[in-house]
Amino acid sequence: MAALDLDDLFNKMVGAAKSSLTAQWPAISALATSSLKTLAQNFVDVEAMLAAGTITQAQASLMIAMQKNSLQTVLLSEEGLGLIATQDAINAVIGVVKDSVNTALGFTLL
Amino acid sequence: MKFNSFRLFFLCLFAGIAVSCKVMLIGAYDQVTDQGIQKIQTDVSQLIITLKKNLLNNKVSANEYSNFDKTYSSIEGEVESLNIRCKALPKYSQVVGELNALNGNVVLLEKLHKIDDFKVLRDTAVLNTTLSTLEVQFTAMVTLQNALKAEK
Repeated sequence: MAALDLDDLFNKMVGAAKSSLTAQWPAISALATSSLKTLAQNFVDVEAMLAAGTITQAQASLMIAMQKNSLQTVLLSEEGLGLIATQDAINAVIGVVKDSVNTALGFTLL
Repeated sequence: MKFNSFRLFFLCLFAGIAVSCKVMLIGAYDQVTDQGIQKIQTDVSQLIITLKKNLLNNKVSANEYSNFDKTYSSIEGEVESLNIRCKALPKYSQVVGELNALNGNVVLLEKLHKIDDFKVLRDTAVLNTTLSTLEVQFTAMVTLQNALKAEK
């Protein structure tokens, strides 16, 4: 059984997240990279504990399932942060148009 | 004539959007949810740190599952209660999903605890990894809550 390579695993995880969340990436990259680094390390640690016989296969399965749940939470937060960034952009554009129209008209229409 | 009607339609549509409230793609910040997540985070961290300290202090029998079954029930009840609240909040699907995943991890931690009461382990490696996993989860949840709070 080949041991997991931390850097390789981390890069693959970040690459997958980045390509799936391209538009939101600037808003979420900080949380994504730090979280994925820790989870990648945890995957490697669980694999190493299993290989060393410190934990059983049943324990390893439970611990891997926990990583998946945490990963799901990270992705949901990233989705939420992306929505917030998008909603801020939309509201900023609407605000600018509102100000411009009102200024051009000389009274508050919008 | 047709062109003017077309322009007028879009002008009215845009004016309607501009006049209406701010665009909301995700639910507004909810203080009860935020505080609830922080409370669960404290309870889960206390549980794991207690287990870890017992191992470090050679009090392995103190880690028996029966000593913690009420703690697990209490935490699972808190998560469930918060989940019900969030399901009733508009545009809260991300937070509901997070709470479902959190509930999943509390149940998995309980199963892990039941396997051997954490006492056959010679070191605290499993608990360290478990704590790290849950820290990532809570950090993600708190980050979203802080971002929602900043939108207020």
